[in-house]
Order: sequence, then structure tokens, then C-alpha cells
Amino acid sequence: MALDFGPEFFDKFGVTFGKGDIIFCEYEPGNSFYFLMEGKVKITKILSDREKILDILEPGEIFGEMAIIDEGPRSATIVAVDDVKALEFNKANFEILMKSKPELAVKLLKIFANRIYDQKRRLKILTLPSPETKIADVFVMLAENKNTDLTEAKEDTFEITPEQVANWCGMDISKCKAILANFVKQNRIAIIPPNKITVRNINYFVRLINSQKRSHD
Amino acid sequence: MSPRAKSFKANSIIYFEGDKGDLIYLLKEGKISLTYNDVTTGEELVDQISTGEFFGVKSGLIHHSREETAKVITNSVVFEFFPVEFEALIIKNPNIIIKMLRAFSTQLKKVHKQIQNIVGKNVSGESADNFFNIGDYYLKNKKYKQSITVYKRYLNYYPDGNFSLLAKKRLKIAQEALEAYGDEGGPAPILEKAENTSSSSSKNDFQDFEQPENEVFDIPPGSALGENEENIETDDMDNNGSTKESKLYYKAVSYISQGKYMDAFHTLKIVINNGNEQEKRIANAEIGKCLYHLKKYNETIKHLTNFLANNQNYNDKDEILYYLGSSYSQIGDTDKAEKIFNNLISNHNESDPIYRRAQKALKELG
Repeated sequence: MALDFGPEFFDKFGVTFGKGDIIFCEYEPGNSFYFLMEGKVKITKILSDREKILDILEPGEIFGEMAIIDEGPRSATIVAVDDVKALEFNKANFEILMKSKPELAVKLLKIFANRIYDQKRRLKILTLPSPETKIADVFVMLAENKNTDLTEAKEDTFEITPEQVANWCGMDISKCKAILANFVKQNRIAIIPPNKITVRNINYFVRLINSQKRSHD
Repeated sequence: MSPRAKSFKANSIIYFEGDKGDLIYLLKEGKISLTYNDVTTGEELVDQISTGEFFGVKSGLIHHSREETAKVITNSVVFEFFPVEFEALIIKNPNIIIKMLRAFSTQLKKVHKQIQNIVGKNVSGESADNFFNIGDYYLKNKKYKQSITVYKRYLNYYPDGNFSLLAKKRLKIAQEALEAYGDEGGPAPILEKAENTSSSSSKNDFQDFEQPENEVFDIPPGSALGENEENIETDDMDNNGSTKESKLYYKAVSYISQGKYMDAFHTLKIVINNGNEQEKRIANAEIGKCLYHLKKYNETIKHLTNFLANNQNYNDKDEILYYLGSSYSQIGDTDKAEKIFNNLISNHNESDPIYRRAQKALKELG
């Protein structure tokens, strides 16, 4: 996206970071968000004692935008991959920015739209009646994201750790691991360390969820 | 390309739930309703679209499947936009985008709240511990510079945090290693037990590793211990530019989300006494909400009326008005409550959550 911010923007809102600098860190409190002008940044999260790169952002991208909505702790870490120039905004100067750069506002609108659907999907998982179906639905969600045909008895492998599964279901990790172990015993899934899980038949999980939903209703 | 006017007969369907969203609509004339099921309750909900209102925006913008069914109630005419046409239109009208951003963020806030209600609150203390652990992760992996950043920021945010003593010590290890070997050089530092402390660990684990190390005596006086009050006061800007007050404000908001209104109230008082104008304003708004939840309705009314008089352009004015209306309703002043809710309704369209909340509150007035 070609967005030219004039120098007056940089004078007012500009920040620079050196290669390797942490711009903000997972769990850190924070209330600003950033528009990346020069250089790349990576989004990372530490999962099962490994730093995982979730994404790499290029100039023109936004990060930290959740701060506009919630002043909670950051959900991931942003590290400068090169020397980085960015604009830093907060709630107070947000509206000025959106009015002068409507393209950016549209971009933000799409980010929020995506996030609403993601979070609603998560809510759907969380409202399922049993811990087994919650876990099953995490895999169904992953399959949906890959546009897999859910009606077929198909084997599929997902990049996810038991910790991440537990996180999606809002479940205690040991409880989640116990249920996953049980699925392994029934040969429904196979856990491939460090970060993959194979589901033998995704359609089985779909049916499991539907049957329990019905009995719950 | 320009948007096309299309007519739909009563009882026809413009799109079904589950359809891929590839168009965005604007209701020109007629009556259209959106039907969907609430994720948590399964209850069927219906929203009416007013003329002049867009629908199918969220799904259309990102080509997501529709989450509602758009049903035509009476013969209607709609304008149909391809997403690119829609984008071109709103870029010329930033006010529309800002309005939509507000609506989207309200929705997102609502979902987050629902999720939080289910998974339990992320207590800020827990985040602080996790934040510290990230410093440890970097240190163990010899990323000294990054660990230094994290420990420094940790000490800045949480000078009296569970791990402030340890963070001081770790910071020293990291700085020495960086100097001796350069970033990512040298042997991996061996850290004491603390790195095993998971987020779920309790105070007991914390005592386990803190006592035997005699660390307390290693720390230069006044560094992370109680006597550095002035230090905090003068050095109240951290690396990220957030102040001690904004951290307190955040803490108060966290109390509110846990229903600890009294704690929130006291924390907000501190922000009001010490914060800058912006911080005072938001803290004052939250204090009004606390008063309401503490069932001090008369005080709420006094406080919020005063607040609105002094902050006429406050961002979340509608929310404040809603609380004010609810307080009047609680003390039985239905005339005033009705007036406020009606005002909110007439200033918003039906898709705004505040509209629905006000409408619901109005109904409850009887």
C-alpha cells in the first residue's frame, strides 16, 4: 500500500529501532500502536520454551493495533529485523490519523473484521459442552482455516502444540494433555513433537461435536 | 464501475448465513432484517436495517462467510457494491470508516469480554510474572540485549513485582555476559530455579526460590526495595512512554473486569490525584462506572453529570450517558432515565450496540 506520510508525520510520531530491538514484548502492558515505515519486524511468541515466529511484517503494515481497543498486556513480541522506522500512535491521536490517512483506516477495518471472526470462532469452541468436543473443535477450526473438506474421512496434520490447543480451549494444560493422550490411545490423533498433531479423520471430530451439541440442546 | 440498484421482493433472501461474502449492500428503501444466532446462548437475534445503512460489510470486506441471513421484509431497493467500489467510497468519507471502526471495536470488545468470562480473567499479576519469564527465556538463549530490555522494562513497570529482586540480579548477569562475550556469545548462563516458575505458579513456588538465595543482601540499597518511592516518582516514564498512572489505570480496569469495584475505585482515585489531564479524564469516567456497580446511584449521577459538563467531547460519552440513565432508572427517576435512553437511541442506528442496550434499558423501565 502506497501511503506517503510527509516528514511532518515523522517529526511528530516517528520512532526508530535498531536491528534486534524489542519494540514491545509479549505480556508487556502498552497502549500504543505502530505503522511500519522502513525495515521489517517479526512477530514472535514463546511457546513450549521455543521462540516461534508467527509473521514478518513489511513496511506499510500496522502492529499493536489491539491497544486501541484494550489496554491489556501485549499478546506477542515485536522484534526489529532490520533498522526500523515507524510511526507510533495512541488512542488520543488515533482519530486525527484515521482522518488524514483513510487508506490506513480501511486497512485497520479489515484487520478488525478478521479478528472479530477469529475471536467469535474461539468463543464457539469455548461454549461447547465438554472438554473433548472443545479440543476436537480446535482441530476442526484449523481444518476450516485450511479450507479442508470436512465431510470427508480425511487425515490432516496441523502445526500446533498441546499448549496451544489448551490455550484455544481455555483449558488447564494437564487436563488438555490427558484428553489428547486419550485421543492418541483411541488412535484418533497422533502427536508429533515438537509442534505437530495429526488428526486421523477430521470428519469424526465434526460428528463428535454435532452429536454432543444435539444431546446438549 | 458504479454501484447498482437492485430490487428485492418481500420474503426473498439477499444472502444466507454461511454464504461467502462478495458484495456489500446499502439499503435505499424498504425493510430488511438480519437474523443470526447468538454464539453463547444460541438464541435467535434479529437486527433491522435502517434505510441509508450498510450491511454485509464485515464479511464483504474480507470475503468471509456471512454470519447472518439477510431477509427482505417488504419490497426493497438496495445498492450493491463490490468490495473495491465500497472501499473507494469510504476512503472519500473517512467519517464512515471511523464510525465503522468504532462499531467493529465495540463488537471485538464484546467478544473479548465473553471470552474472558469463560476462560477467567488474566490477572495482571500473572502477566507480570510471564513477562519476567520472557526475560529469562532470552537470557538462557544468550540473547542478552533482548533480556536486558525485558528486565529493565519489568523493573520499570513492576518495581515491587514478585520478581523485582530476581530481575535486578538477572539484569546484572545479562549485562556482564554481554560485555564479556557480546550478544549471543559465551556459555549459556545458568539461572537459578526461578525460570521453572510457570504462570500458574503460586506464591509458594516464589518463596521456594527466593529465600535460600540470600538475594536480598546482594541488592544495592534503594534499588528495587521499598525505600525508592522518590525514584518511582521522578522516573515515572518507562521505555514505552507509559506513566505509572497509566499502569495504575490499567490495573483498575483489570479490577473492574474482575468485579472488584472497591479496589478499582481506590486505584482510580490515585490516578486522579497524580495523573495528567488525559489520565484523569479516563479515570474519572471509570470511577463513575465503579460507583454505579457499587450501587451508589446518587453519587454516580452527581459524578457523571459533573464529568459530562466538563468533558463534552469525551470519546465514550455514550457509555457515560448509558450509566447515567441506568442510575436514574435505579433511583426510580424514570422520566430522566427515559429521556437519556431515548436520546441515545435517536443518536444511533440500530446496528450500534449502544442502541440495543439503550432500547433494552428503556423496555425495562416499563
